[in-house]
Amino acid sequence: MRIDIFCRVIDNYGDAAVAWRLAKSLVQLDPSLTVRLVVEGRQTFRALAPYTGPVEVWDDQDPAFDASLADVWIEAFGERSPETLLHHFCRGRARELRCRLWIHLEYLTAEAWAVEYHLLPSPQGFPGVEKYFYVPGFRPGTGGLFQDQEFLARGQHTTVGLRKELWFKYAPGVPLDAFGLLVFSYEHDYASLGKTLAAWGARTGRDVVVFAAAGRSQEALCRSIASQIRLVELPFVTQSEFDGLLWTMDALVVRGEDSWARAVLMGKPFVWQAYLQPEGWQSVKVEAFLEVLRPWFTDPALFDRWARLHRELNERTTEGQGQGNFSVLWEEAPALEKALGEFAQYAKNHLRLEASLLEFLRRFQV
Amino acid sequence: MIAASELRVGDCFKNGGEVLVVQKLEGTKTGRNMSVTKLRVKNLLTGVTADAAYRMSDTFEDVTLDTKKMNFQYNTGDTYNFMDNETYEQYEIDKEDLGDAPNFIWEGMDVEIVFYEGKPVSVKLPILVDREVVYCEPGIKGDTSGRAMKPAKLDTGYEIMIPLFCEQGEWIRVDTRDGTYKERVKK
Repeated sequence: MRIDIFCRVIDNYGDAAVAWRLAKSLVQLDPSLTVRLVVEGRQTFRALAPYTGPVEVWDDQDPAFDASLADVWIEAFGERSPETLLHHFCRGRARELRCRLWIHLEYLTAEAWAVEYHLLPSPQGFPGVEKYFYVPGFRPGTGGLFQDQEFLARGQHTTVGLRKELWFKYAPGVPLDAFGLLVFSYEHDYASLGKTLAAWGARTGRDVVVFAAAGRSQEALCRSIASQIRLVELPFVTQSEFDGLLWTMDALVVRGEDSWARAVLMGKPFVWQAYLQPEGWQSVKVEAFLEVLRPWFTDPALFDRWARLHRELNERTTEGQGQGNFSVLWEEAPALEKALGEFAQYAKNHLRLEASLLEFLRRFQV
Repeated sequence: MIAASELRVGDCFKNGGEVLVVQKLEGTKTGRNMSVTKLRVKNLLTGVTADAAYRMSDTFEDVTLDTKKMNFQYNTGDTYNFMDNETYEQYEIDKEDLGDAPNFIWEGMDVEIVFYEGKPVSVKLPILVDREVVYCEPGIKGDTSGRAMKPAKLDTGYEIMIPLFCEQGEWIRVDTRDGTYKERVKK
């Protein structure tokens, strides 16, 4: 089976990160597949994944690329119109198309509509080509979460082992037993985070360190907390190294889609900042996520504290608004790990996106 | 061409040679300010009804069918009866072909009926209609945020979520595209 995955490299590689994870996971699951990833900007994509192994990565402007050779098209996040696919990527060869199945891969959401939309047909009027919505989600009946066995395998390594590898490289001198918090979010005022984490470190006698991932939160984070706490400014790293760094952390502030899904699967204490939407619509998505996670908390007070932090971080109409009491991430780390760890286990067993998608593709015998 | 975001219940469009009429639609926001819509469409050639999902930016070939202003007379449960305002001729439409429209129409209401090859196939509603709240729990004074909602029943029988401050007997404006509360109105 030949699969073409189309995506764009926008806003710190979030969409491309997901598409790349899908591409390599499909080949890991079934090495007989031929998977091509078609990105807008092949050169910039190299920063995310310099070595792509058996996955072919094409630039969408490459005149040699021909999508009419694929059996399946996966359009990550609906960036391509039918006209674009047909006329640009297939050079107008409508009658020679091999493609029988076209998947519209949606953004991850915890909202209930994901169940209704998942696997709904989306007829486009191309003879012989069936298009379907594929909606990742946290609920049974959705497409599930990108697992990425390579990512999960990193979690089997000891934290100390990973820290030796990655902290020596990016944070030399930081004690390997320090409490590590990685922040990868949109703009936010992190003044209170530095103060409360530093105070907790002083009170407990534990070294604390904040890793500011490259991207939109880094500058604000450095400006607001560099004087209060040990801060490591990370350069842009490959997806593989970023995954490794995530596994070395004790707690995470994540954003968007890919790092959010990673945090959920890791079961570590985390808070998620959703992409800002008009009229604060991101709060609807955050509340849906909290509703899904609520039953996994046996301590309602802990859930309320964790949920409050999510609201503080997400109830905004412009970037940079709000403060937030992040202390639940370290003060309640063991209890959070228990609740989130149980959901992570559930997600790993029951929300396996790549395997479900592959099963769906095989049903069409393409 | 017509975009999925422009479609309304009762609209017709052509997709791959098939003429489809929209019976029901709902939209939602996905990530990165994108939107998608779920449509229930009836194929006017085969009579088959199916659900489909589209990006709001998907476009289709526009189909303009004849419409006539008619008056809703009554329903028998499975069928809805409309009368031509000019000829007084009566037409029946199956309830299932009306999508969500029965939630928002009342006896004596003027609506636009869509015809395909001489047969009435759907109804086009105004985007906003005003209806009376015939049942809800008592209102909570002071809560004017409109964020907290409670269930209510309208005089058409439709169950809707309305703000806590609304009272039984009041009239509200409803968006017929998604069946949601818009605002209170004075009658």
